[in-house]
Amino acid sequence: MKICRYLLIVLWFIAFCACHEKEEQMQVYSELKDVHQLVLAEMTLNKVGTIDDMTWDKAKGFSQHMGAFVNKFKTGKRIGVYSYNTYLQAYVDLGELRTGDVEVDEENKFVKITLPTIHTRYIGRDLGIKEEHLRVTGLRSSITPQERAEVKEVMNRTLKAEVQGNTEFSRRLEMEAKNKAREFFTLLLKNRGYESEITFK
Amino acid sequence: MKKFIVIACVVLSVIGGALWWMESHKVSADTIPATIEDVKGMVKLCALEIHDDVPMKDSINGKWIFAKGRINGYITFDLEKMEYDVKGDTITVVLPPEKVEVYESTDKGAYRVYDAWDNTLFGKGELTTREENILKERMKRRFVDAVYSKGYVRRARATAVSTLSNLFTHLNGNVVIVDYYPGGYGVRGAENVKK
Repeated sequence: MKICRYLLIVLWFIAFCACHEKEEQMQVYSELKDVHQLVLAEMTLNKVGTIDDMTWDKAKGFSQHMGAFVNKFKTGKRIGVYSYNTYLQAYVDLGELRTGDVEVDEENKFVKITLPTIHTRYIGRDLGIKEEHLRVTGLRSSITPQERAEVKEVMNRTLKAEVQGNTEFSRRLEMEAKNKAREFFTLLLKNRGYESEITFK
Repeated sequence: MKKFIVIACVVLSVIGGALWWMESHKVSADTIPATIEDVKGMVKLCALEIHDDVPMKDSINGKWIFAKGRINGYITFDLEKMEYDVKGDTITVVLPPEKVEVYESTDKGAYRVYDAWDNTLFGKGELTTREENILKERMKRRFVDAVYSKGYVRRARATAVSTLSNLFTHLNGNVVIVDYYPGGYGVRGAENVKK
């Protein structure tokens, strides 16, 4: 009877562990929208990330130290270095342009345009990932696609934090966008015989 | 004896649990701070945005993958390549060829691999980075084909004509926007079209 009780406890423990496994749900997202964006500048950011064994000096907390301890007994090395590009864009929404934003002085052949505010956004990243270095030796297993997807996710998260914490990225992008807009509209209007002044909201 | 079996079961369960738990902490994923590779000015009109979760079940060299990627598609027009013709006080502007730009989204969990396996005899090979990139490139081509076949390019070109007409109306011009290829120039762009 006592043995049955112990076995029940063991079975309950196993069932409890199994229940805590994350449920895999595939949610499908789809969106299509008409936009009126005038894209004025694009920034390419490169990010490099590595997949490596947890080592004692890198480990934080008990679990990672235990992982580093287990790695000590493994034969061989397993390291992968990957990179990919992420793209940021600066644009103005032409849907926000109002009639009063363009003042035309026919007499003096002069046009003053006040363009809408410049917005910045991530347009995306490379679909693929570049393998900069790979070394798998001894009895170690190859790096899996799942691991590469995970490292890409970590790289994406840290890149976003870096961009958010450093205004230099958006400042440079906006500056480039303003210069390009001025150059484009000035030339466009000059070809039609107008002098111009381009400003932003 | 029975007591011994129970104790062994408990000990093995605990060791198994501990090993499984340690497994997830054996790999470290480090990153190096991002660098700016390029900043370039451009003038292009973006007329349509497509954000889609695209499943990918495909194989190469007998190795399979089942994954899901969130794709951002943009249909754009390079306004710096815009051709125009002045006749009297009317300017005729020709809508340039469209470009379908495809990226992987930067949303959280945008690319997720559900399963990867080797279907060859005795196959234990993992999909390499090069092979995975080839499969993703195929997915990109299928996405671009779908953009054309679903009529998204036609819709984007119509939107672009309307947006440019509005812009030039604001600029007080007598401008006519002409679209010679409302269905699109095709995946190879302008060189695909005999003038």
